[in-house]
Amino acid sequence: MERRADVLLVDDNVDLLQVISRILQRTGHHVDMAQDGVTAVEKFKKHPFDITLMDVVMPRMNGVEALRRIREINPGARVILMTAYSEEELVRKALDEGAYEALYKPLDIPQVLQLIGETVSSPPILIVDDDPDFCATMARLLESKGYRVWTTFNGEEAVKIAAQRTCHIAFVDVKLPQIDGLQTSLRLKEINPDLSIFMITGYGDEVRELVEKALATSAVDCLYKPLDASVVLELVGRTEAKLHGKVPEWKGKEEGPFPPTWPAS
Amino acid sequence: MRKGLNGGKSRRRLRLWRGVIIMMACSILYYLPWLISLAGGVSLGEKLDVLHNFYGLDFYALTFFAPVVYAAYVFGVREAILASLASMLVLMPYTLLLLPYPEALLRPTAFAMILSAVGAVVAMLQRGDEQRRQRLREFKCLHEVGKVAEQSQSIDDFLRRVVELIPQAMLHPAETRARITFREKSCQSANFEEFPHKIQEGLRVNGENLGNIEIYTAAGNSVLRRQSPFITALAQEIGGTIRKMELEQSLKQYSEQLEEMVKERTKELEEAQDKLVRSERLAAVGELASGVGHELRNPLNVIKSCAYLLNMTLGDAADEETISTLKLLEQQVDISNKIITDLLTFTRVRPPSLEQVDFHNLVRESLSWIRAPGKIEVVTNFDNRSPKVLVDGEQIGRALANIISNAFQAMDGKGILRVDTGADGGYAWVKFQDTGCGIPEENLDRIFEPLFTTKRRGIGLGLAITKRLVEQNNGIIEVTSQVGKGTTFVVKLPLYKEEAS
Repeated sequence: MERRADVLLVDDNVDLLQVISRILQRTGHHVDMAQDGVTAVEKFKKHPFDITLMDVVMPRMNGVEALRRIREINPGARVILMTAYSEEELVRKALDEGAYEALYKPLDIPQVLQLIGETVSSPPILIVDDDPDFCATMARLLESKGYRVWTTFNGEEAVKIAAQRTCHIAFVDVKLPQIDGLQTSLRLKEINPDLSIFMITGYGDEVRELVEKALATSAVDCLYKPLDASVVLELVGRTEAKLHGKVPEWKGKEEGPFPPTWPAS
Repeated sequence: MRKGLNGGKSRRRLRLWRGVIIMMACSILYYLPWLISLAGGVSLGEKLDVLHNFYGLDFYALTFFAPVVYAAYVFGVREAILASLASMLVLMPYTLLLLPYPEALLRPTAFAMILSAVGAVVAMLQRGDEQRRQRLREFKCLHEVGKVAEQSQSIDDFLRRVVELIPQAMLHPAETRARITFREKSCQSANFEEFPHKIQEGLRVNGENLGNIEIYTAAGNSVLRRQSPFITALAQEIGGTIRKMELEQSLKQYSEQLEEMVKERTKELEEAQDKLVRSERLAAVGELASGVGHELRNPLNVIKSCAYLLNMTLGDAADEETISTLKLLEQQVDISNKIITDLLTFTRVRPPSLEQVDFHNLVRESLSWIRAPGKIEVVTNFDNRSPKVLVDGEQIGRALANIISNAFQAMDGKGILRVDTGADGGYAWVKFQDTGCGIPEENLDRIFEPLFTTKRRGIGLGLAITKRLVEQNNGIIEVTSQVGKGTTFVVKLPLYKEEAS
């Protein structure tokens, strides 16, 4: 299921920007371009791109720094770095920072197209939490197992994202600025009735009422912070399997006790 | 062998006899007037008898100086006194029997005393003379020892010569033997035997008693006392010389060692400098390469993407020629990129991280990386055992892949690549034998040199990288080739320790 992807192309070589953007546009994707890291970060702030294709060595701000900033804006952002091989140290750092892939120049265009295709065809797991650290941790965890993650810090944005992209799973914090978790989950459910929503909360009794309401109306389950990594993965895995009628491929070994221990409610 | 000893005794006996004969001759002369009177020549006897008391002097008795002086000269004081007493005994009968005055008894006694005194003086003079001669010989001997020390090549040689010199220091060399013992080894003078009289002295070298000097003489030599200054001096001289020679020898050894070390160090330094120059050049090239590589890759990236875009744009409309041209374009980009990669790899080889690797897996993996083009057949013949080697798997994999890819290129699309493995002598080896064009002998030595190439494609870094990677992993790479028949590369890698034992 080939879908249109929003691609941000960042390179200081204008010729390359032109050629690649032409190729991507011909393939049916939407392309925006930036010639340096600063511009790229600015553009990313305004528009959530599905995938960012970025050079490492650039004026004003290099690719690795830009990657870090972009991942701060959206901890689940997929960034593919393009390197000319001579900056291994930077590339290693970038991969540590959460770069999705590092491709070597000259680019293997079919490989790039395949990566973009894979990205847009895998529905993102939506994470709605006002705590950036929590979002980053969840993104890392799920990304490490090959899932695509989309994080937002408030409900409004989450609803916007869900309207643009098909999501199957969402983790929604109960307490959110502006519209709260219950409202958010209700509106998400409105957009996509098949969406499996998991409420998350760090509080106990104070939010019991909200949680119970959410569970009654839209949410599948409620998880209590701190979350158990294996529990999250198990939940996501089961939900995905239910959706596709198959067990998704697990890239890593399971961590933590199994069956997972559930927090007493 | 007993000649010396016998010689000494017989000479002494000869001297004794001579003394006795002189004594007898004197006695006969003394009693001659009386004997002549007895024989009837009374007038002659009386005439001769006058000399017995010529103005109170007994001239005949004076002859007895002869035996006494002889004894003193030849034997010594004691013998001279004995000779004097003997003379007195000879004079006694004449005094008692033939002279009418009893007080005349005093005459032979006084005479004997005078004789003894004369004898003693003569003996002492003689003794002094002997000593002087002996000392002279000793000095000469010590001088000779010094000379010999300068001429000798080794301590053994020196001792052999010295031991022959020692008898010369004595008044009777034929009756003297010497032996020098040094560090359990002894040197003896010619016809050595242990004569009854012996003096000896410890041989001290640098304050350490390392041997002995022994001098044997047949007859007791009055000059040679038990503690002779000569033998002490001799021992000192020899000890000193040995010490000097030992020092010289060790000095020579040290200087030789030093020279050797200096030579070695110089060679090492030269090699190190060579290496440094080479590595500095490489580093400079590396710096340049990585800069140039980066700058070239970007345009290459654009070119490749353009080719892709053109291909895509033209789609089905493209004719055969266009498609192949675009393919050529892409291929050339790939080749250019390969050159950059080689350059970067060559100039930036990281130190290997050695680990235990299954050798056959490594070879198999390398083979799987490169597809055999055209009608090339790969025949593998692996050893039954699968040895473990201690290498950096990634680096060696790259090195082997380089060799394989070279072999494929050499065969130009047709041939057989035989891959054999085995293990011996602490190494696991793999042999790649191709049926390609081969390498001319004059190039065989140079194929591992960087930037040496006979291929139209590439800049000649592949085998240089291969060699560096193999050697960096403590391995050995060897090549043999025959033009027209093919080339054989053998890579030997160190076995993992458990296997090696």
